[in-house]
Order: sequence, then structure tokens, then C-alpha cells
Amino acid sequence: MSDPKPADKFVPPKELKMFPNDRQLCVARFSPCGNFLAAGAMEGTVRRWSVVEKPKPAVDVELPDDSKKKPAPKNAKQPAESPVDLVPLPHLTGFNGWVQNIAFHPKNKVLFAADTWGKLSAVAYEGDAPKPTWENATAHDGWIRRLAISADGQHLATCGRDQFVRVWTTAGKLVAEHRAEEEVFAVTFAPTGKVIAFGDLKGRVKTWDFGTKQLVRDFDASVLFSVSRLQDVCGLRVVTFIDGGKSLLVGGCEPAGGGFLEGAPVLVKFDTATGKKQTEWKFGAAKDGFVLDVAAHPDGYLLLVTSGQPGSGKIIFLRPGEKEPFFTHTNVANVHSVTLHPDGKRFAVAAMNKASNGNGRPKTADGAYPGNTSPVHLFEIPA
Amino acid sequence: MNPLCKPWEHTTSRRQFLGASAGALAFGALGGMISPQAAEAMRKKEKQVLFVWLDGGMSQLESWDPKPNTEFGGPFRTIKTSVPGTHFSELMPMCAKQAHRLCVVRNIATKDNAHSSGVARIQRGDPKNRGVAYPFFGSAIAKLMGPTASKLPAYAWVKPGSGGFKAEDAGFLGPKYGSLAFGDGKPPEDLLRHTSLTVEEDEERNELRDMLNKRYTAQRRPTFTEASSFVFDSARELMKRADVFDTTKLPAKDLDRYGRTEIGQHMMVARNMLEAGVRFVKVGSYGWDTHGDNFNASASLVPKFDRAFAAIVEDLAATGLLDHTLVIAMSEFGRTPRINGHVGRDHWPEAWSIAMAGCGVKAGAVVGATNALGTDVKDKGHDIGAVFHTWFKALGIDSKKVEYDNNSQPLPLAHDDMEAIKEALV
Repeated sequence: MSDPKPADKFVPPKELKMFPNDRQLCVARFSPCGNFLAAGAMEGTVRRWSVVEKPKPAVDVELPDDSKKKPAPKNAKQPAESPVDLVPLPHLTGFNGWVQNIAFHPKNKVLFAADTWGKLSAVAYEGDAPKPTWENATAHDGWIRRLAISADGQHLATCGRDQFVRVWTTAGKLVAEHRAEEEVFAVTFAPTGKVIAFGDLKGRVKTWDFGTKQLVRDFDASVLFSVSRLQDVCGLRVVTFIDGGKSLLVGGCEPAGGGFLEGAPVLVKFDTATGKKQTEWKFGAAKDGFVLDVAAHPDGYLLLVTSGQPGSGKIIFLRPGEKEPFFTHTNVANVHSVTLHPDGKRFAVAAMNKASNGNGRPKTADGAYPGNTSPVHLFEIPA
Repeated sequence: MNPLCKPWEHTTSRRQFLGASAGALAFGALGGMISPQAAEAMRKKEKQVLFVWLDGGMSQLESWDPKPNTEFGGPFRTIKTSVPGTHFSELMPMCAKQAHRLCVVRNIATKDNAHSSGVARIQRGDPKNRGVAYPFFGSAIAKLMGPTASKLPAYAWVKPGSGGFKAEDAGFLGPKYGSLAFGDGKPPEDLLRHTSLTVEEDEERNELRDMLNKRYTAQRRPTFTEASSFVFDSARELMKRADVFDTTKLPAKDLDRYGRTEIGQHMMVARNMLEAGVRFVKVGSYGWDTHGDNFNASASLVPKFDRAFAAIVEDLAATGLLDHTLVIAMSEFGRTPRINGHVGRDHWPEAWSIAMAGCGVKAGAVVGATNALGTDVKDKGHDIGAVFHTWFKALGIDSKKVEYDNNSQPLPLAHDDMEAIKEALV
């Protein structure tokens, strides 16, 4: 990462366009080439879009769906047309449950996906009907909670409800595995070497050398765990290295209770070498929930997304050396994933439709029972 | 603090008390005359109830009625059960092995989607409104069947948190039919004879208490004292059975089978209570209202219930008690198929499930169904009134003929317009 820009030079990001979906998404990622966006869905598919740059501005306006039904007033202020479009491609199928994790190979045109029934697969993602290049239906016994790929593209790491952390070659061969004390919720690679970090249900984070198969260090993120009545409440959702591996970030929720699951989004920064906690950020109140995803911008700051009680969602811009975020976007509900375009000028988030909750059957005119959906919001970061 | 009730909390008259508990007193007297073995044999012929209440609403989709690979199905797999063709969520592997003993009703369709009113509405059977508060099912059984020959309390509630006497459960039946709640599965404080007291000293104290009670009663209306005395006497019977609450001496394998969890511990106490002869045992568990992060919550909660519930069903079957014990597991409603932005599920009375086992119900049955997405019951659903009729019938009580007598006001036991679920009954 380069040196962070000073706060007074930062121009807030601008939402270019919202792309609706008819299903809920778990995760979204841009391909390294920047020409594709893929998303793991709760319907057991991977959704894909071509990222299409459009010719310079047009006079056409992009109106919200509702306003399409009636002409806009002549003097109404019209949003500029998005310079980028997401053109849907056929879904990748063959998964079960949810596809909660996807990862692009940094060089090859391969997408890896993991589902909640334990399948891990690799797909050459271009084309209308891509087929898996390999797949392992029993990579884990059940829910694969996270999938990570090493920076050199040699290895994958997965972790799951079965308490295992596994490292694979990107050709699908198991390299090493470690059984943790509890279910494992997050895993990531160190930028170099053969070290991964993973975090479990109780907020125990460890680094592990998959070459020597030795645990390296413990990190105490138990702030992300609580017991609420009968429930073990896991707040840990994401681990990631920054500063070239010198620091380890652990994100999630400081749970105040189970059931409703109230708790504040929390990010904890550790010194990788010593395991010492350096900084702990809390981003809001109990309704604000979890830090669910983190992306590191080339300019040295982080984009964090949060999701809490229905309707609560934030996109947080944070410099790791500062105590407070320098910008927070709140006009998006329940943000579950963030992905930076490789050009660093745009990012996309997978969020949620408004009013996604409600007891009993929603009253719709035609008696239908609509599911919730995850629109993808595309943002531009002004230069 | 003594969790037992206070005299002024009760309003049962002496006449009501004597009339309602005549059967119980007869049993009690007989129980005092016969040998322990005979009493045990008699008790085994008596019907009992285990009522497991998962407060807040367990998700039917993550338990009894999974819909894998559908829009609302969630992340989990299903597993085969001991009943060919029947599948449960993968979170219930132990119950899956007991499925041949269970009767799962998958087309429950009730009306109330709020906790505040739904809990009581469901546990009172939601009868037609006649301007009175109906009793919870446990209180109804305490009234209709009384204590067993054991003389132990007719309606015990093993629950997290505080204990005490819960008179409000009884509704119009009067406080005597409320539940005696054992907070955290422990006996009430000061229930057991203090170790510094000899048996003789304890008896002397009780004689003194009786004498003072009589003096107190003579100067006041008996309505203020009799329910209290009844509760005290029931509790005193428990003093003789302190072993009921002691799970520390159970084999480690039992602790593992039930799970070393709150619900596991409480289910073991419930098993002990049933074996000791408590007529109706309710086991309560809190924290099932999974509006947020439902799937991780279910992954934590459901297996703990699964382990404990399967173990008690297995044990009741092994001792033969299941033949005489109606077992029920349920909540006040299910959870929405729709997954909200907090990855939770909200309240859903429209189409959910309950599980039963034992006395009078059809083992290995799956009754009713929901549609492919779990958003509606197929055909006709069953409201809680029908479920109450089913339970009464399973216990040999004809709820279409027997009525409550509320100070000369005849009241049906359950909703007049509903019928027992025939497919669920043997």
C-alpha cells in the first residue's frame, strides 16, 4: 500500500448505480483483470457479470425502478448515467446450500468457490457455460465458512464448521490440515511464506505454518465471542493481514446477546510478530452488527462493510493508523461484502433490499411471499 | 430469597382446594399405605407428560422440516432418520436416530406472531374467548389428572433463571394449579433440611409451622392460606427426593449423552422427576428468537436441544416410561422462511412443526406437510386448539366431553370447533 492520503484530500465515493438481483448474495468479488464480477448466492449458484465500460456520458438518465413507471418531472435533477455497467452472464451451478465464498486466481482465469455442503471447486469462469476444472464434494464435512487464496496463486485455504482448516494446491490437492478446538469462521494467507491465520468460534485466532504444520502464535480476539443463554455467539467473521503481513486484522461483532444478535462491529489490529493487540475499533452501536468484509485500498486505507439489524449497514473508510474512520457511508442496508476493482477507482458492495425483516407473512397484493434480495451497489472513488 | 409463593398471592378457597384435589388426596393416602414397589408399579401405569418449551421460536427449517437447496432453505444439509423417507436437518443427528419413536407434525398453522401474546396463547390452547384466562397445558393436566401416587408436585417446571411458584399459569383454575418452577434446575433455596438440623428437629419445626398456620387460618379467610399450604406440602415432598436434582452422580456417559449444557442438565433433572413420579414436567429453554444470524445460532442451539431431547426419549423408552409419558417439544411459533438482512429469520406462525412421542401418539409418523418452499402448509393446517385436543386424547381425556367447571360456568377443555389430529394418534 502507498502512503495514505490526508483526510482533507479525500473526496467521498459516489454511487454510480445499483444493480438489482432476485436473490440474496453472500459475497462479491471482482476478477483480477477487472472484467468480471462474481458473487456467491444463497441459492447455491455463482452469479457473474461482465464489467462493461460505457462510452462517455449520455443524456439518458438512470431512474430508480419506481420512477420508471411515470415520467420524471421536467425540472427534476437527473443522476448521471453510470460509466460502467454490469451485464449478467449465466450463473455457475452445481453447488448446494449457499455459496458463501469465492476467490479468483490472481493470474489464471480460474474462480474458486466453496459451498455450505462442503464442496470446493475450480471453474474457468469465462464463457457462457463454464465447467469445473476440478471439484471436491467433500472438501469439508458441511459448511465451508471461508475460502482464501495465496497471493502467489499456489494455494487455497478453507475452514469450516467441521473445525478443520485445510490448505490445498490450486489444482485441488490437499496439502495440510489442522483441526481447531472449535468451528473455524475465517482464514487468510500471510502475504508471503507458508503461514495462514484462522479464527474460531470463541475468538481464538492463530497463525499456522502449513509447511511445518506448526502453530506459530495465538491472538486473543475473544472480544468477538460471548455465551448468551444456551448459545455460543460467534462474532468473528474476517481475518486479514495488512502492512505486508506485519499486522493482522480480525473483524466481526462484539456480541451483546444471542437471538436477535445485537452487538457492535469491531475490528482488532494485532502485531503479527508478537501477538499483541495494538488497536481495537468499535464502529457504532449494538444494532450495527458485524464487520463482515474488508478490502485494502492501494492508497493505504481500508474499506470495511457492516451489517446489523435489518436496515443497518455501513461502508467504513479507515486508515489503520488512525483512531476513527475518516468517512462512513450509511445509505446502504446490510452490507455483506465489499470488493475493490483492481484499478482502485471503483468498488462494489453486496447489500440488501430495504425492509428485509418482518414477522409473519408480508401482505402483498397478489398474495405472493417475496424473498429478500441483494442489490449490488457500484461506487466510484473520485481521484 | 425464598422463591416460594407468598400467602397473599393465592386465592384458592378451601372448598375449591378440597374438591379439586380429592383424587390427588386419595392417591396420596393410598401411596402412604402401599409398598414402594407397588407404588412404583402403580405409578408406572399413570400417565405423565414431558413438555419441552423452546422459548422464542425454533426454526422448523433448521430442525424438523428442512427444505434444502430451495430459496429459503438455508445453508444446511439434511440427514436420513430411522424412519425411511423422513429427513431432518443435519443439526439433529441424535433425534434422527429416535425418529421411529417420534411423531412430527409439520403442518402447524397458528395465528399469533408476537411473543408477548403468543407464548400464553399457545400454551393455553387458544380456545374461543369466553372472558377467562385458560390454564396452560401443564395446569390443565394438574387439574384434570392431579399428582401421581408419588405425591410430588403435579406440575413442575425446570427452567433457566429464577424459580418459584408460577400461579399465573393456572388461569381460572386457581393458583393451586400453577407450576412449581425450579430455577436453573435446582431445588428452591432452603427446601432441603439444613444439615445442622436433625430429622426430629425438622419435624418439630414443621409441627410448629402447622400449628401457627392453623392459628393464622382461623383468623383469616382460608383463600389466603390454602394454596400456600398446598405448595409448601408439595415442596416438602421434594425434600425427600433431593436426589432428583442431583445429576452429579450420574455416569459420565449419561452426562455426555444429554450434553454438558444447560438444556442437557435440565433434561436430566426432568428425567429424574418423571421417574420419581412428577405428573407434568416442563423443561424451558430460552434464547431461540433468532432474528439475527439465525444459521450460526441454530448451529449452536439446535444440536444442544437435539442431544438432550433424543437422550430423554431414548431413556424413557428404555425404562418403559415412554409408553405412559406424552412427550412434546415445541415453541410459540416457527421462523420465517424469508431470510432477513441480519441473516436471521423472524416470527412465523403460518407453517411450522412440533414433535411428540410416547403415550397415545403414533411413533414414526410425519403428519402433514408444507409446500416446497416451506411457506405454507399443504392442505389443511392444524391450529393449537387441534393440538390440545390431540394431547388430551393421547392422555385418555375426552376433550369433547369433559369440561372445566369454573364456578358453575362449564368451559370446554380446548377449542370447541377443532378436533384432534387423528393421524397423530394411535
